[in-house]
Amino acid sequence: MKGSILSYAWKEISRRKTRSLLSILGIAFSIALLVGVTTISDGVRQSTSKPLVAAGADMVIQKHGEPCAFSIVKLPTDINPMPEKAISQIKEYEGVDKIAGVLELWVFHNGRPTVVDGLEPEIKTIGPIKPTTEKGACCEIVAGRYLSKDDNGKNVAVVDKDFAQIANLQVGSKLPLANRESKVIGIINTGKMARIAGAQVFIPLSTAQEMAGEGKIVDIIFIKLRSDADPKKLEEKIKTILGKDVSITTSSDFLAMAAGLSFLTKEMTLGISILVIVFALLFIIKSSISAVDERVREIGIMKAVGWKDKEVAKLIATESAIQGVIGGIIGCGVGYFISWFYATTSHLSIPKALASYPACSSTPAPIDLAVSIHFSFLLFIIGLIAAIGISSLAGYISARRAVSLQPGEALRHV
Amino acid sequence: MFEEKNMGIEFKEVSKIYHKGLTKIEALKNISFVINDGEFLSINGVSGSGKSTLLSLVGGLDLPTSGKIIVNGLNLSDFNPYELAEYRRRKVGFIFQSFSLVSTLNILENVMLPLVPIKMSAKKKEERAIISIKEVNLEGRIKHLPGELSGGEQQRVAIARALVNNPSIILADEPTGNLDTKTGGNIILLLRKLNYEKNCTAIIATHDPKIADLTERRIVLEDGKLLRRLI
Repeated sequence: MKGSILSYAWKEISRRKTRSLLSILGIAFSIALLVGVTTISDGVRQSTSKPLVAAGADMVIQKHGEPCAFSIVKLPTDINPMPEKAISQIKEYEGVDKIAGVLELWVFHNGRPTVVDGLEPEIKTIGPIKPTTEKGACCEIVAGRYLSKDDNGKNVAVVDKDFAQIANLQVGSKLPLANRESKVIGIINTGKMARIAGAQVFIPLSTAQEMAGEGKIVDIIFIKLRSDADPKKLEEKIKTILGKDVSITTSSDFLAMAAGLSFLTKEMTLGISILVIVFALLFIIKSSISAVDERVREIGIMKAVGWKDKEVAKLIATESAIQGVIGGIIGCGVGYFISWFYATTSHLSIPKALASYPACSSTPAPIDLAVSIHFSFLLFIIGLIAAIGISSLAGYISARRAVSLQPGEALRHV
Repeated sequence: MFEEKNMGIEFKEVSKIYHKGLTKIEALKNISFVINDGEFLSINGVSGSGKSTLLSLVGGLDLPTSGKIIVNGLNLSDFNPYELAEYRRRKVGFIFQSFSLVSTLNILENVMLPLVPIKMSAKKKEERAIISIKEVNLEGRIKHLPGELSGGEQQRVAIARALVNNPSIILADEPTGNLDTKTGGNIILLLRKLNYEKNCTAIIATHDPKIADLTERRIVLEDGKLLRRLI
């Protein structure tokens, strides 16, 4: 390598530290932003989609309204009831694959609230929990059993593991809920992460409806669509059934609702990235041209000692490419570091209406969204290619400028 | 194209006009003369007389506005930029008044500069550069940067760089201009020695008649015109 254009280019970069550093930093900055913005938005998008994925649903339906008056069994704040028969009406729409209604209640006993979900015992693949016996899996039945069809109307309960610990409950324990006692038949591990309609206690839907005393009602409906379904048409149908004030949360607007990051749409991310790259490109072209202008004398000497135009251009382009590779690698590294830092320090959560806990509940509401950052080799390669592309374009423009210098003209600068 | 070691140079009614903005500068006016193979020649004249322009034309850095410069029977004006670069690489060694070393490269690297784009092993490039450096007695300074050398030493590095491609023509533009009299004299003696040993043509542009006196033949320029030829 010694005595070659590559080694000469490397020497130039390492010896002209300030200018090289500025160019490399310019590239690194733009690539770091590209990688950072893309990785963070992907991470946020993925983490905000998890609660819907975990619920096995594409849509969540609620009705919001004025807070109802206090009673020992009440619907969560701002949540209004919906008739259970709406579920069968919605199910008639051919695009609906699965549907489940949940009645979430706040139940007070001796002044202490408990968050209770009334669930259809037979429905296990859509809703707040997906009970399983698989070890370590989310919603593992760690003791006892899950609700069954025979439990409808009975005072039985499956309790969350954390709640069971705090309330000192075991399978067979009696759990006071409002003016009745429910028998704990199982303990379930629902995990720590955000869960739509997450609760401390799970009882049969019919029992919950009886407890609420408002007839056959639910307050959250989960819907899983078929792949060929038209969500817009279904939304129209739901509004016809439940009224125009119904709140429909889909995966497409869950990001904005959950994280308040509506600006992080794919189009916006792409727009920001392109803008950053354009500014970086302009900066680096300016820097490279200035570098060539500063080296008129040196280029004149090269030409005087027999360097051909293409060899001078090759040198300038090689210098740019080296700076691009270094800047690209640094930029990718910094971009991932920024993403990791964001992931570890950010506090994203799903909207409280989707996992409504009273302020004084004994366990925290499962609303925290963990942003997980994934290293993407493809993004790394794209970042590197973008860096080399930026620097090569800047190098090409500055090399053309260098080549256009006539040797005699350049040497008059000597 | 440039197979022969030594080449005669012939100027045939050569004129060179520069344009600086709206100003027209006639640097050389219809000059004709011949430089023989292996000659040790000076171009003498005051500043602005056209010495540097003449060297630039011989070295293929510029082309004449009119007339012909015939080197080894070939008209330089017929060369394209690629052929001119090849001509400079293979046949011409330049030495400038301000040494024109690349400040960020050490002595070895500066001398190797003409060899960088050539397809040759790194070892051979280095060997050739070291031979050139030894010819100017600077082998103890190869790792030094130009700024760490005296003016005379820097000019010797420039001479080593000019020699590294084993040129047939050495063109020295005021090579003693930035040096004291004694050091300048030594540089001219070194060029004379190399001209003799390597049998190459050496053309030295100088404003100093004392330096010009050290050459075999002197051509005097005044206002771009050939004033006289002295032997």
